[in-house]
Amino acid sequence: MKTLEIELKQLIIDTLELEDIATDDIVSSEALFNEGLCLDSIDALELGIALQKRYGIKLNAEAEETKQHFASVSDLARLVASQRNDKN
Amino acid sequence: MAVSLAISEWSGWQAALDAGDSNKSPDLTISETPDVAIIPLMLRRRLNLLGRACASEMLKHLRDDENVPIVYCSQHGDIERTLSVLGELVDQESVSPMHFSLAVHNAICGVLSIHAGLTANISTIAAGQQGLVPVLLEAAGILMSGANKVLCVICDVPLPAVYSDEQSLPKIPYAISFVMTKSEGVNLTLTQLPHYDNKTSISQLPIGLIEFLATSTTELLIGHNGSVWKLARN
Repeated sequence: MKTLEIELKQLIIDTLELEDIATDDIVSSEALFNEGLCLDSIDALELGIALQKRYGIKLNAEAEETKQHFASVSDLARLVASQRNDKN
Repeated sequence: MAVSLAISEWSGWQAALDAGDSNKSPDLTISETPDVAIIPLMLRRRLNLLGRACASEMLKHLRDDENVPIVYCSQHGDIERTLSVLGELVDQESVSPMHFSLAVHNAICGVLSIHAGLTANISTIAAGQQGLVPVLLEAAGILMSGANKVLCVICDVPLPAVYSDEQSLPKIPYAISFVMTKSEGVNLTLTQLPHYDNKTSISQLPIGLIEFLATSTTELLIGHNGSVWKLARN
């Protein structure tokens, strides 16, 4: 799971053009939106597309559970891992 | 038609082509990248080269307690982002929400308004290669409608390689910004000339305004849509 978290942190940095931020600067359990990393709604949409392209994950932007998946890097990693298990 | 106006502050940025390039005048900064360190990281990442060039110059003329109207002009705007969105559509890929939202012509001013807390009117113009005349006329109109000053910015970057058959300027990324007032600063008159044949002395790019203001030159000839305008010191 730690490897996947680092992979997701790098995906976030590259996709959202977070210059001067390294994977070590992002705390896995910390909030991604509003607090913590302070990402915004455009970042959420951008991240949704990146997850779809990289992992084939399709999310419903209106669904309450999507907010939970996007809460932190740890939550995103759990989502990606569970989708991988479903496919296998 | 003659329009009276004044310019109280001005500055410009142009990309350095070689390491040895240096400022031509104190008013024109020539450097590898525009200095926008003052903008917080999470907002700064929304600005690419064109946006950073604009922001670096506009912020020199924004005061903390002022809510000044803005006139923004660019021939092609953020053409790199627009082209990126078009490429994704051609490839039938999902369009990047960030590129889509920031490719809008007024997006750079939007980002800057968030940074500076501006809520005043923002006008955006796409007026060909030489956008100086439309900007001066637009700003003059805003002044006549009651504003005390107008912050103007004109910028462009070279077209991407895919448009290499277009003979378009600029060849070097640039942005200029100036504050227009009714009478404070250098007092000028803008007039359209009925006839003018000597095309060699006509300023091709808005950046010529900075050199004009920085020197004691008495007049600047500006081409626009096949006509020639004269900006002269009073």
